[in-house]
Amino acid sequence: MKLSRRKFIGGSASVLATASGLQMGFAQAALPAGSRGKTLVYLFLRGGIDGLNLVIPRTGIHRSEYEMKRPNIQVPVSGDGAMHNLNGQFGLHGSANGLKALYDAGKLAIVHAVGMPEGTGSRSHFDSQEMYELGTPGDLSTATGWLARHMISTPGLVEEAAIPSLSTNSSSPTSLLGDNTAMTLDSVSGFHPNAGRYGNEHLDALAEIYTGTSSLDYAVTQSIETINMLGQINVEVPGFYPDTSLADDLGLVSGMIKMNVGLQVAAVDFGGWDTHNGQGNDGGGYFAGRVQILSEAIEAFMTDLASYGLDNDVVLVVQSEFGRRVRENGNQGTDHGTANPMLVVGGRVQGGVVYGSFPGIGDDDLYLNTDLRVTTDFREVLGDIVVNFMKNPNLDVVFPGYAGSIALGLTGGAELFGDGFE
Amino acid sequence: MMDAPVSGMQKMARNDKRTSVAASQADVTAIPPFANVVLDRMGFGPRGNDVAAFNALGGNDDARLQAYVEQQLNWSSIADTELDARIAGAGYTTLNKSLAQLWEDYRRDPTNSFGYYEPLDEIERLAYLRAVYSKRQLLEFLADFWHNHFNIYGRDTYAAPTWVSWDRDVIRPPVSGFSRPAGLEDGHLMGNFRQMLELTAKHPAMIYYLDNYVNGRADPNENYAREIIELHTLGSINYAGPDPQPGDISTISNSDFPAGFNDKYSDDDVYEAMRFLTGWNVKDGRNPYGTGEENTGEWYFWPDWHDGGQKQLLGVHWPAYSGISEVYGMLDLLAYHPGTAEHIALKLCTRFLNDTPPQSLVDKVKQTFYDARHDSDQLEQTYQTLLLSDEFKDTSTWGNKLKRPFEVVVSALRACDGNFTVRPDDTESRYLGYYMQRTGQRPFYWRGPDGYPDKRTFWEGGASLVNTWRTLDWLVDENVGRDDPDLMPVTDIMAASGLSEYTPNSIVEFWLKQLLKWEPAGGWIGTTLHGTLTEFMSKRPDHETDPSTWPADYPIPPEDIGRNSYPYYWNERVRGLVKLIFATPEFMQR
Repeated sequence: MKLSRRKFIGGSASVLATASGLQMGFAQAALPAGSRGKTLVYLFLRGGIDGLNLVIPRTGIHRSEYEMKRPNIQVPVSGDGAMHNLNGQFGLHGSANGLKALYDAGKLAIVHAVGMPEGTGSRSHFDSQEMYELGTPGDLSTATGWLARHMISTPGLVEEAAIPSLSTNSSSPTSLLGDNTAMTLDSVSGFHPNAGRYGNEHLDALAEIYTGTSSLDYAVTQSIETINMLGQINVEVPGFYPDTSLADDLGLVSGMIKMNVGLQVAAVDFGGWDTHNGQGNDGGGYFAGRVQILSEAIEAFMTDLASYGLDNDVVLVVQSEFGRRVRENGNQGTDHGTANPMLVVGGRVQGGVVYGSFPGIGDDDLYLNTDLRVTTDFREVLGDIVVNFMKNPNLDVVFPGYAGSIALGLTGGAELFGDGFE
Repeated sequence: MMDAPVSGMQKMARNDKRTSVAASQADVTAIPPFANVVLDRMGFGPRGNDVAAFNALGGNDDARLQAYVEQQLNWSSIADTELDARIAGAGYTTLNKSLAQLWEDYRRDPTNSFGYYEPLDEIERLAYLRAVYSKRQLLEFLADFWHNHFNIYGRDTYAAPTWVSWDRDVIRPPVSGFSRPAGLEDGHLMGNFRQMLELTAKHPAMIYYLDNYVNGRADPNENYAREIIELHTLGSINYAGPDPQPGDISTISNSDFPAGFNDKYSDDDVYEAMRFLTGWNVKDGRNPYGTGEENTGEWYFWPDWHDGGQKQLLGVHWPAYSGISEVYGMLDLLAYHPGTAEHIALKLCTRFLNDTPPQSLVDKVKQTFYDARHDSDQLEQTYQTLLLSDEFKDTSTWGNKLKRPFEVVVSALRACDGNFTVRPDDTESRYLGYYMQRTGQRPFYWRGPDGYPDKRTFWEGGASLVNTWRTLDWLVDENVGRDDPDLMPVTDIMAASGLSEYTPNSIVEFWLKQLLKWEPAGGWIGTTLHGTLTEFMSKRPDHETDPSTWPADYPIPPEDIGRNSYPYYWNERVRGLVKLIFATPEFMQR
């Protein structure tokens, strides 16, 4: 069943239909007829994940430096709490069984030591999250999020898409700032402003009251459309998903993709990574529990999509606002740092590889003598996906001022030309 | 939603114009009168005869505002009989316990039915009750502000047991029986910021939440050190980043630090602040690792854990072995810094008035905060500057703020004369917490130290809006048709309306006046909003074959409104009207 908003809002073109990308002067490229479109899921780990304990130096000088700088919280190479071996040089946290399976299946790529260009980052949770989500390192004044700018400029939107963008929080994240078409939906159950006999009349009246062009008008219009949509699709989360809020959120996103609502981007949050104190020793403890939740939810999401033959249409990217200090602190935790690995998951992902360049963690290798140094700009990772997988050539709109490479080939760069780009 | 079709543009959702719309307010019928604007701006909206009472305070708007602000700042002279009576009958059990008693009962011995969380649960429920029923509206508005400024996640297992004390002994002005420590008598939301900062720093809820209880010289932890600068004092607006370059930071001075200090901070200052705070701790029976320490939850300074070396913060030098005096010196430097005045002024103006407040106002408020930094009533003076400013009196900017979910729900209970004594051990009160959690703004449930966002961009998600309205849907319907009194007495208010006839027209007009508590010049009848709501009241039920609406002057039998009966369910329709008015831009914005 293909859904269109038009069916819900009764008839002629509405507020939804106006300026196309062409009018706004963006480069265009037609999608093949009948395409389902692609979906980008942006999973943000709030709090700053300790990426060095997720993707871990396993051998050689990096390992000895790691063990020296993390006497208590180090993840062991073997024995209880041992890491998974990725490629000899790096391991994956031992609680990430699902991610390891995806890596082995070639559907998970890791890019290590990613971040903002040196000198533009921040160790503030809030400023750093903002800059990543705005997509403008060093600049907090940007008015729109990078996902919103992708939505504005991409030629890849499915015609008559019912839900082009979705956030699974109670509020939209900064990455979607400025995209007032974004639906926010925390859960399907009880999602209605009037559960009684006059619910439909209530929605009609709300729609008549909010006819303007303000962001509030659009937010209300959006929520009415969401409610109408929910009446017509089944986005129940399958029972094999773990019982966690992250799994619920990813299950909801998967449900939307399966229902073919034209979902272009989805923003999902998962917090609890600010591990200043007692994060867990020897590969176990609190951090291991968080990693397990993350890993199991992503695995269920990919299994779900693959069983419908849809995993090739989806890329999920995992990002956090910063990595943590290379040296553990005195409380068997870690303080705010800089570079971090990013994870890229999907059927088309050229996975089973650790991309990027690991700068080392010897004393002389560190940024400001404390942090993992950035060797890959996060826009190189996201830009590769935006241009080469999502097929939006307007990199300068999505990441203004970025002049670097997007040639990592995380989803296979040649595809761009194969699908008809000029 | 029914804009005219745009010719040649039939495709849906293809880069439509809603992408890239900046946050902006929705159109309203008119700007409300001065009294309503003031009551929206410095409280949780009008209740009962508040508007008339405000208008009786003087001969013109200026005089009324002057009198009202004076009254509200002089909060202890405002009798709060209704609130007090509701609290007295509600069965709260933790409110009069000292910090030591709370620690003993809920931290050391959490065997009561709620474990650690009973004090938190009670203060959460009290927060609704106070915001709805207190006549000290400014104080309640400010309590919400300062709780968020010094935000602690209430469910933290050390914060929750002491939450009564955090609210009473740190945030709010002192009440009899619970005095402040000597020298910090004025540390509270109406008093002096420097003293308040020290109280927050010494409370176990803060020391645990931001991990300073494990900050020792051998094993330092920078969590609290970072946030006390970034969030509580100078703010990230004065952050020069982890690696500042020449020219990013300048030296300034004032009478407190005449030798000069830096105008902005870098990460080096965070690390230095961490060293100042080593050994700043709580008596929890564990340091040093369980040998003989008391377990009372009280703050103490433990020199053995303190890094005694010389330090330099914001360019100010402290010699080695200064002991605890250097921590107090650090608090002085942070609290008396002009950057802190700027940061607090910007946040206050944003909270009271406008997501992007005029710099002219921020400058004035900053100046008062800064000039009065040693005064016992520094914060009161600061609010006075803000509330009596021309910018505050300018009603044309009304509506810039979107009410956050807590404010929508509280102001709805106020507008509709809600009868809901939120209290411990009560099913409806528990449900209220569940509903609020889904709105995204359950009091004290924001996990990060930055507090609930203030700007409308954050709250304009459909999920937050729908769940807020769903909360009101439940409140309006709860107990209808049962023995317990309705939480929102819609049926009673309708019955006492004194309308000569009940028609869609007259009912809608009545409820607009009743809930918004103002009317545009010329009245509500004839406005677009009135027309839309009248149409809602005039639609026939689905089972009727006649597709036409009833006329706007269709007479509805009053007894049919009193009960909810087949075929027209008029009572439910009127309740639906009330819910809809709560959802209008006229009600949702302030």
